[in-house]
Amino acid sequence: MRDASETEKAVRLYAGTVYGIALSHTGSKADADDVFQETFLAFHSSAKVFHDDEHIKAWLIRTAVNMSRRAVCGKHRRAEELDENMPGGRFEFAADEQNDIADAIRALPEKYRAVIWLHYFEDMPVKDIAKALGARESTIRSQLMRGRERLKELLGKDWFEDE
Amino acid sequence: MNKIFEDMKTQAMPDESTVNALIESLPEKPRKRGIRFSHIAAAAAAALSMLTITAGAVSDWTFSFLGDFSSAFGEKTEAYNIVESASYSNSASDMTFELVGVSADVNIFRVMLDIYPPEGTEFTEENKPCMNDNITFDFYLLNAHKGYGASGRFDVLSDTPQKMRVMWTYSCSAGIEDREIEFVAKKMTRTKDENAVNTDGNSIITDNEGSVIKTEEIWYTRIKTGSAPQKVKYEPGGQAIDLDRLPDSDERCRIFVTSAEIGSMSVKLNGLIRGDLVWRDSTFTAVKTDGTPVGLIFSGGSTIGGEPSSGLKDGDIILLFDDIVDPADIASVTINGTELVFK
Repeated sequence: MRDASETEKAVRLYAGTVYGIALSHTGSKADADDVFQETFLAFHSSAKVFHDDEHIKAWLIRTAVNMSRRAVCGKHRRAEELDENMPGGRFEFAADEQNDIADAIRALPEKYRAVIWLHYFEDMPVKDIAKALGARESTIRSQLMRGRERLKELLGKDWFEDE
Repeated sequence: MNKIFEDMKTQAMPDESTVNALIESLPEKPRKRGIRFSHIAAAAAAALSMLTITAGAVSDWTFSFLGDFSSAFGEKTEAYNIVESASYSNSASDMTFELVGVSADVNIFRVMLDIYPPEGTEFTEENKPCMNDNITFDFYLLNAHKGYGASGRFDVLSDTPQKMRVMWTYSCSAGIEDREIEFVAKKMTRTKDENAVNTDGNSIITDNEGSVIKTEEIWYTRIKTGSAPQKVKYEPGGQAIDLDRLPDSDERCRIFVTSAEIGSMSVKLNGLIRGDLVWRDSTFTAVKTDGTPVGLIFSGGSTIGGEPSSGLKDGDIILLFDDIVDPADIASVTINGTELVFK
């Protein structure tokens, strides 16, 4: 069991990263809240020794991705989908085009979502994403490229052109 | 960063109340729980686990890492795997074993095993671990009543005591359930002793030179899984199973039925123990009560984890039929011509 202050510090540092991953997968505020809390509770309960903050971040990212998958899977398994209009349903961004982008990301094959989110929204370089997700850099590059192509098809515009 | 993304990121934050609720609820003591299951979503998914292994320091021992994994996923009813390719690469920075296959519903699955030296170091020719081709990797999809799944193992032998990090990745376009892993670390030694004592009662492995690997301790991970098959339907027995490589067969065998609807069945051979690969050389046949032979898409795979997703136990063999077959219609199953008699 980790010291609460250590967990709180991690929450303060990486809440956005974890929540963003959760939202990019689930699209639901309620589910993202769950993933967010489950991820940090897992961190709190874990006896894993971390070398530094980057190590913690990588672990949280991987755990958040896994938790998100689980959340999506559980949702898909329910006989009836939750009504997105229910409270806690679909997360609404402020602008329509932002919602379109979020929807498009969620429409991607799952393996592209976290990669796209981490690279374009978290500004993480390929190398760091590869390390966090336990994949090869070449795999991440390939996923970024394919994800971007899909998004371009879905959105009719390449929002994700590297600057 | 693109301005619009930056704006979205700013919005994609938990409410302060959610954060506070989390922080205030942090438990001071661990919650009681057993193995925790993580169910991963549909669509392409990857299960990752990392383990640091520290082998012992006895130079004439072979150290081994065994990884058992199994997953159940989806709501599919049929899935038979076809191994398309297997590759193995080895470099100073890592060694990779990759297996790619296609399941019956044309989902591509891929299993990768990456083995790394300790951080900041490289493998040398002297300390590089090697794959034992004979027993390196068993992989099969199996039908379980909740869907289908995968189960497999890998085995890395290294002649030199060292640390290594192992990561395995399993991905499939159909998605998987991931399981939190229970790590059980033991140590293995190789011996030429054909009468090796199975000290822990469940592991004797033969290496690619025909030597029996005596199990004293084995490094292995176990992934507990929960999608148990239907309960045993038959309790057959009464006929000796005489298989050349079956180390300790006895007078009984049992048939387990994993799922009537999806045409699969597993065979339990007493005496067939974890890691034994007798099935590789075995021929299975099944005949229905009307005398019609049942095609077997796949057979084999003694289980190794103790409790893979099917709930099968050590020694279980899975038979996947090429048609939807009610196991009640199966009159007999033979192994290498020896009929297993149902009670």
